[in-house]
Amino acid sequence: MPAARDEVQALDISKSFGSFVANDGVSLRLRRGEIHAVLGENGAGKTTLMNILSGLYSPDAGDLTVWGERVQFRSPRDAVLRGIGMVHQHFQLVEVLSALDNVLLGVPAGGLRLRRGEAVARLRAIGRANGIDIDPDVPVWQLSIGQRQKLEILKLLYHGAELLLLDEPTSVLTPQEADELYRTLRGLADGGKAVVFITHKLHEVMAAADRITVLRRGRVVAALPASETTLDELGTLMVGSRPAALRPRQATAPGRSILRAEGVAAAGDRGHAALDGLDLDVRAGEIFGIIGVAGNGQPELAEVLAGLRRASRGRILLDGTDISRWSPLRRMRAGLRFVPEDRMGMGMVMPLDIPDNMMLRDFRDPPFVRRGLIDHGAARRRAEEAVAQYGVSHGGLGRPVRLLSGGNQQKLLLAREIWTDPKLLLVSQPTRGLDVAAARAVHDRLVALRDGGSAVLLVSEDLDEVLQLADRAAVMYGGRITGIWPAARFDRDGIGAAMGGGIPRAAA
Amino acid sequence: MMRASAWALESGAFVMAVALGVVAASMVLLATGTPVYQTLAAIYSGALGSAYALQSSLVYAVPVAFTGLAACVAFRARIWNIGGEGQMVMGAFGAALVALHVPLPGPAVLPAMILSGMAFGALWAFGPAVLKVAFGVNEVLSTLMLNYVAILFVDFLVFGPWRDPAGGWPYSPPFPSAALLPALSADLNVAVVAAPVIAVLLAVLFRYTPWGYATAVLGHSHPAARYAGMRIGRLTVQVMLLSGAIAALAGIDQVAGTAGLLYHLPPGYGYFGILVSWLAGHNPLLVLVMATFYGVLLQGGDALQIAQVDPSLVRIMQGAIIIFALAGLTLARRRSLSPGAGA
Repeated sequence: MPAARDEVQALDISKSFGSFVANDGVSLRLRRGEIHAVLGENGAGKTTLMNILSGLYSPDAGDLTVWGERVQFRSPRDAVLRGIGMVHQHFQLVEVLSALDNVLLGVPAGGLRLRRGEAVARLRAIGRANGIDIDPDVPVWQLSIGQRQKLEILKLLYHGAELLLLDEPTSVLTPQEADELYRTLRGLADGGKAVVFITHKLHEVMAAADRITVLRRGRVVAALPASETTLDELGTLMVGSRPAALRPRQATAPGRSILRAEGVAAAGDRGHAALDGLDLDVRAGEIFGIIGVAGNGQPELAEVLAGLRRASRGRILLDGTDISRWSPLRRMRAGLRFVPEDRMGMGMVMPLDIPDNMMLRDFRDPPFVRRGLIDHGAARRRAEEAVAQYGVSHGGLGRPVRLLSGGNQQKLLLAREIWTDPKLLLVSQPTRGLDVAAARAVHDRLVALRDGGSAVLLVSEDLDEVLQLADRAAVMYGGRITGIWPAARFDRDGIGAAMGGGIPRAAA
Repeated sequence: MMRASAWALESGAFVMAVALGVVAASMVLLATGTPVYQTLAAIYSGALGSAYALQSSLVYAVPVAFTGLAACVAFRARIWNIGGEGQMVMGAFGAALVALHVPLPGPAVLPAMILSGMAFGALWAFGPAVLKVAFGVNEVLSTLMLNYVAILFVDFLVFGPWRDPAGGWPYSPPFPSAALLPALSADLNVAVVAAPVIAVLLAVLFRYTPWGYATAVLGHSHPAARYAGMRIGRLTVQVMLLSGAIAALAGIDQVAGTAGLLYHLPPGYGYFGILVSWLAGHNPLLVLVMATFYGVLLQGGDALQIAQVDPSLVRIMQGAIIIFALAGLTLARRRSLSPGAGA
């Protein structure tokens, strides 16, 4: 048994927000040298628990014992002083400041003078000791997402963290960056730190954690060593029932060509060639999946197709008509609907309520407009139907959609875009950040749409999602499609190699 | 739509905040040895206590209502038109131009003045709008700078070529009677009715037209607006034109109603409109309420100056009350927006 001073323990923690019980008697035991995963769906209470451990929330009931001492945190500062630090899902960095300045920002003032020289030396030493290589002088905006996360970890270590909490650390990372992160975390644990991360990705838990605590609806449903469980068991524990296996794919006859892209090129935000002569052919009645590692032009492709980004070269045809020069509105009205990757910034208007969001794209057309005026009753009816049909849980239609969970937001977004019976539905990263049940609901809708004869273009960074849903899968690399596989010949290794830039075998 | 609880919270916060502001102002009075009760009583009787006092408050409230409505048109689209002052002054100029220098048959004069004034106000907003859309020029700076241009331009006219040769003051000659807004009483003209009508029209425009919906989305998120197929540049220009045209009404009211001639307008109404729009949460109907509140404060200040209270003390009292009101409402709105139960 490890000594109590090497442990952080939460015992019977409860926390409610109004009538919503986020944590209901949750206990957690964290040890030095261990990586602990807290697994659960969105809304299971993971983040609340982390916020309690990091001093952001105070629990309604229960005890915290930190390194053998009973504590009550009144602020995150108390937790930092006890050696507990948290990396939030959304990084807390000032982009225009250097890495060093970001680290020093949170340092408890020890007098007025900053000893920059000493600070640089210490930061470098800590980085070297933990295999984190970041130039202290580089401004944060120049760092990649993966490097920013490492900087956040470095910041905690600099502040003397012995227990590191990470909230969904891989949700923003590429698979390679995630692997690297877990190597870093392993090194920290081996060096005697305690590490906790929360996630809803099962395979990460199996790959990276020593011990696992599974939360469901605010309660602990299991706490067990990773070596004594399986993916299947964890999935069952997490959602409460066995997750569906591969969905049966019906043999749909490929229909006519709905979307063609011919030699499309476009510049990215920083002026680089994001799309570089891309060809594409999506047919009616199929889900065409585009898989690739982040940064290979996927968001730019979606924007070019939707008309939100200008193509510098090439042609785009929708059902045989050249739409290359059409406005986004005209493309939308012609049956090209779009579920963007940036759900909160682009796809929905967070401060507006559900009915207002249901008419975001069709507010000029019936039924939302009658005799030139907006019919709020029609928007409300649409919202009621969408909420009922898509199983959206909400605290009132009139509340801002900002208050909905990501899964519920995504269901509404899909409902809005599918409602008009599109010729082509373009969906980007449709299940990113969603829990298993919500992701399954989204997948069901895409399949139903396909079965109804629409073309679906699915752009995803989740290989499992594409393999599970797509009738054909294409790898996107360096702004082009570098290989296409029909479902019958899906080959994980070949696709994986192509995603990494390997030259694929002639596939289809 | 605002929920009933939010209404109650906000109006409660407003009343409490104003009360606190009055308390703070009273402390300033105490500190300067000014009799508190008599001063407050003088504000009351000067700004609220009689029909005459109320009318005097409304004379102040009307132009503030117009500039407030102009501000709320722009602000709810998150377009920061700080140029209400200049657009108001150009509105006064446009009206005076027709009244003094365009020969028209009697009944056509007023409509032409109003159109001309609104056109000049809109023009004054158009420049910054185009600069913003085409070159990304910050509209706060461009609209603010144009305020000074407009004020100095009218100063040039009334001190120079347009000055009434018969009078000693830097005023234009009086407008012909066909160029005066119909009076409703000794002090008030039809503008006092026009302001609520326009507020209601704006409320309908915002809530019941696709254009109103589009400008609200524009205010919340540009990516979402683009995604919804809106043309951001065109919408921005339209919002600015409407905002400038409404601000112009404040100037038209002052020259064709209150004064009956063109002169150096009392400074500040354009900026009061900005404050009033914030106090009202950019809701046009509440702009009316807040403009009236502001009119009472301004008229109360006048009453105090007549009662020989130091003008700077008057300003301090007005400032204290406004700051408390704004702080109280901001806190109340933040609270009613926060998720509360069920995170």
